[in-house]
Amino acid sequence: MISRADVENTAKLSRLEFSKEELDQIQVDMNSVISYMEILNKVNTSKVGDLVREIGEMREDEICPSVDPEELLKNAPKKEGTAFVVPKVID
Amino acid sequence: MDKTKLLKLSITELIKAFELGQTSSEEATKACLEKIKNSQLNAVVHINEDAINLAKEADKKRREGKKGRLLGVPILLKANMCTKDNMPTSCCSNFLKDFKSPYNATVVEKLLKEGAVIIGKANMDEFAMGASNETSAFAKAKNPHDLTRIPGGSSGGSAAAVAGLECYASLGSDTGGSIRQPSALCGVVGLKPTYGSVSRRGLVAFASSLDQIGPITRTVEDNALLYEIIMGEDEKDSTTNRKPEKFVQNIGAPIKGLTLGLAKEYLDLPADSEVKQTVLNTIDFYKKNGVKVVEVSLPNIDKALAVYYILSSAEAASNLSRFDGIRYGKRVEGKDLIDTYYKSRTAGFGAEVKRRIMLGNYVLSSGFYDAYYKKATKVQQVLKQEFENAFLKCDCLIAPVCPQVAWHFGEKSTPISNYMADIFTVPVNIVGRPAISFPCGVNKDNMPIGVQLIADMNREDVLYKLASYFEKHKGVK
Repeated sequence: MISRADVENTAKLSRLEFSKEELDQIQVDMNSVISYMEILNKVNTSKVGDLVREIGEMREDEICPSVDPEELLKNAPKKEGTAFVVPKVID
Repeated sequence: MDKTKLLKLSITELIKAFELGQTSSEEATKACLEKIKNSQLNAVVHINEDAINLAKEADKKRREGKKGRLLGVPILLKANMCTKDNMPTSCCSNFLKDFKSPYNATVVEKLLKEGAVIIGKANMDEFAMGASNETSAFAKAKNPHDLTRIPGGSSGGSAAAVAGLECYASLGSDTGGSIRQPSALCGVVGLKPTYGSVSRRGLVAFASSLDQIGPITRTVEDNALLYEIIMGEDEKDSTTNRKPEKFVQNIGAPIKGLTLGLAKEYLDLPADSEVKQTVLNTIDFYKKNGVKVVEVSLPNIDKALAVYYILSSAEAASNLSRFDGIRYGKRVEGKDLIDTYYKSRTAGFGAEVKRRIMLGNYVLSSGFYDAYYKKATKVQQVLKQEFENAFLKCDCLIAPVCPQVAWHFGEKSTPISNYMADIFTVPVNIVGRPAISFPCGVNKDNMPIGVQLIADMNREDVLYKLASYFEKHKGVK
C-alpha cells in the first residue's frame, strides 16, 4: 500500500501541488495501479541480469552551427537581451 | 473533380490524378481544409495558414517537371511533432499551448523533401498519455463512424482525420499502441515500426525507449509508401540504426508459404467475443490462402501491461521534468525559483499527465526502485526472449488490437480501466518489434474492428505482404 507520506513525498519530487481532495484521489489511483503491478512478482527473474542499454556508436565532438539563440528565446516566458530571466535564486 | 470523390482517393490515386491533370494540389488541399472547417470531429487542432500557398507551389513544381513522391499531397501531423512554421507544437497541453519549435522534426524534413503539403496538426491525448483522446487539453476528438464514441488514442485525431477524409494520411506516434489502437477503432491502417527505424528527433518525448513515429493511412500501399519515406537512420537520433529500405514492392506480393504464429496466451487476454471472432475469421482467411498456422507460446504476455506502465511512466516522469516554465512553455511566477516550478507545472499539466508523473517518480524513488522499475526491466527481458523464441517458428504473430470497439465518451472512469485498453498493443513496444493494425471487420453496430500482425525486428516487409493481401481479397478499404 502507498501511504499518504509516500504520495506527498512523490508530489514533492514531481514538483506538483495538489489539494487535499486531489491527494485523496491520487492515492486511490496509485494504489490501484501499483497493486495491479504486483502481477510481476509471479515471474521468477532471479537468473535475469540487470538491463544493459546499448548505446549506439558515439560520434566525435565537432563544433557546428546550432539553433539561433534569438529563435530559441522567442519561446521564453521572460527574457532580457540574450538571457532567460529567472526568479531570484540567491539571497 | 467532384469533391467527395477527390477526398476519397488514396495517395497513390491522388498522385495519378495530379499527373493526369484531373486535379491539383491546390484543389485537394482546399477540399481538405474546407472539410476540416465544417467538421464536428475536432480531429485537427492547428491549421497551417500557408497550406494553400504551399499547395500552389507544389503544383508549380509539378508543371516544371520537378519530382517528389508526395508532391502536393495534403498530410497531417500529430501535435507532438516539431515544425518550424506558423503552427504551435502543443502536444495538446496547456503547458505548450503557444510553443513554436525553432526546428523541424526529422520526419517533417523528410516529408517536405518529397513535396508533401503539411496542412495541420492533429488532436491527441495530452503528451500522448491516453487511449481515448479524452485527455487532450483542447477538445475531444470524435470517432467518424459514430460521433458519440471516442476515436481511440493517443493519436486519436490523426486516425479520425484519415478516416473522416480530412487529409490523405497522417503521422502518429506509438509508445504503447497509440497508432495501432486509434487506427483499429477508426477503421484505418496504422504501423508501429521496429524501434530504431524512424528518427525521434523533433518528436516530443514521452517514453524514449518505446516511442516510434509511424504512418496512418487509408490503404496498406499508402502506408508502405509513407513508411519508406520517413524511415532510416538519422545522425541526430543515436537510437536509429537502419539503412533506407523499399516497402511498396511488398504490396500484393504472394503470401503462400508464410507462417503465422498463434500464441494461446495472447489470444486468451480479455476481449469482447465479437473482436475475438473477427480475429479468428482473419486467421481462417490466411489459412485458406496458403499461410501456414503454427502454435507458439508467450507465457508471460499477461505481465506486459504492468511492465509497460512502470517503464513508460518512469521515462515520462524523467522526460517531463524539462517542463519547468523557465525557457519555454507556461510560466506561473511563484515566490522563488522552486515555487515557480511547482506553480508552472501544476497549472500546465492535466490530471492524467500528473498521474503518470507521480507513478513514474514513485517507481523510481529510493526504496521502491528495485521492486518496480528494476523488476519491470527484468520481466521486459523475459518477454523479449519469449518473442525471440516465437519468431524462430513463425514470420508473424496475430492478435486483436483493442479488446473492444470504440467506446462512448466517459465510459471508462478509472485509470486501470483505461489502461486495460492497451493490453494487446503494449507487448510490441516492450519488445521493440514492428506491428501493423488494419481493418478486418465490423461489429453489430457497424463499428470497425482491427487486427494486429506483429513481425520480428526489421521485418515490416512481411506485415505489408500479409496486410495488403487481406485488404485486396476481402475488399476492406
